[in-house]
Amino acid sequence: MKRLFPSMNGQQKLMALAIALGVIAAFIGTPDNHHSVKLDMSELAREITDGHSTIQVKDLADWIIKGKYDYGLIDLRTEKAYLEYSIPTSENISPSHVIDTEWMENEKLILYAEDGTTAAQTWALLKATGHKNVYVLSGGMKEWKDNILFPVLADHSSTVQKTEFEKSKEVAKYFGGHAQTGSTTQMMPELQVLKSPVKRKPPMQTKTRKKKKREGC
Amino acid sequence: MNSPFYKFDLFGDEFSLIIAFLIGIAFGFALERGGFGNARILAAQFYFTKMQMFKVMFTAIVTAMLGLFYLSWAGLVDLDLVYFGDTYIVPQIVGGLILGCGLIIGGYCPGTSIVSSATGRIDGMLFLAGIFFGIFAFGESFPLISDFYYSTPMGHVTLPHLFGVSYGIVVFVVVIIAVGGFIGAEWIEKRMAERSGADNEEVVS
Repeated sequence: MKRLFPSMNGQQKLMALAIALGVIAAFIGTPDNHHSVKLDMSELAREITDGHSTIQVKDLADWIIKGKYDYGLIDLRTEKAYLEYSIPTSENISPSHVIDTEWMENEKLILYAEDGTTAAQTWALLKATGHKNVYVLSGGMKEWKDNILFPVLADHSSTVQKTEFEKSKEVAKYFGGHAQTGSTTQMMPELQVLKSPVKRKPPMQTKTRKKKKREGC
Repeated sequence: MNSPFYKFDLFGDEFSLIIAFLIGIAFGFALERGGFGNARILAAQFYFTKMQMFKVMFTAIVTAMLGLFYLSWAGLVDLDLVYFGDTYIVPQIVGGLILGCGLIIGGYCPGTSIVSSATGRIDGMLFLAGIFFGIFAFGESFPLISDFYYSTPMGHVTLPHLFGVSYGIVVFVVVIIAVGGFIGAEWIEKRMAERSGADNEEVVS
């Protein structure tokens, strides 16, 4: 072998090098591109079916009122929409930044957007990257407005419903909204910039991965 | 991981044109230095008298393939972001056959015809004119062939995905094929040269 290599000409040495690199490549297999993920489809399907992946707006409102802050509430909407109004304690992060951010392990995240679609998509991507403790605010901002800020009592409601509505009135008042009865409900009132009744907690300490652009040629 | 550079926003569309221009100059230079501005060398490939095109192409394929593979392994290139078109198997086979016929008849493929034209060869310029006419004819007749053009789609497919093997296995197989082909090409060239020499001796005698 020692005598073989020096006796080769340049072309033969290059061929030997290519074969050596090819053999090493065969052992390496497929280079890890750090973007492919493995999805446990049955686990995802189970979470969706069981409803364990969603948080109801009433529960969130309850946590905020009680000062419970063991979660990160993420507003996935545009900055403009966020500045017009946002759920107290939320932080505005775009879906792509949410995916690229290195969250603390098991940090509880609650995602919301205008409705459920964007939040659901971001939820799926976070789940795919291995984040276990992520939830979607059921119904998003629309549900928050309909049920927390501007709850409506229908004209022919039962006593139980009326009692619940009284509680909802207090909650709506806390968050700067107001309750409506069926007879007074007209179009959804213009939502003014409301002062948050609670202080926002400090921004979450996160590292952001270098962003990359995905485009076709 | 920060390449392909364009996909990672390291430069925009305008600068990418400048880079394309510079790469084009380098590519044209390499083709011309490799002798591919000459139709005789290109066509000789198909008569097995000069296997230059085969050897240069496979050298380029293996070099680029090994380079990309190891750069990806080192975490410098994201292979998923490297662009390539979708596969439509039958139309692309037919297109390849047409191109092969044109290469033998005319002695050029599209890139080498531009190289030839740039060096002042009339045949290269005529071939290039033929290309433009062909493109025009294709465009005008496209509505008639569009169904065939989009037939047998296979999507965005690579050899590893198609055969269910790792990238490394495909790299190894292609290297072996290339090296074997290289040795085979040299053997064929020698045999054709010997035969050509023997024929000349017969003619002289």
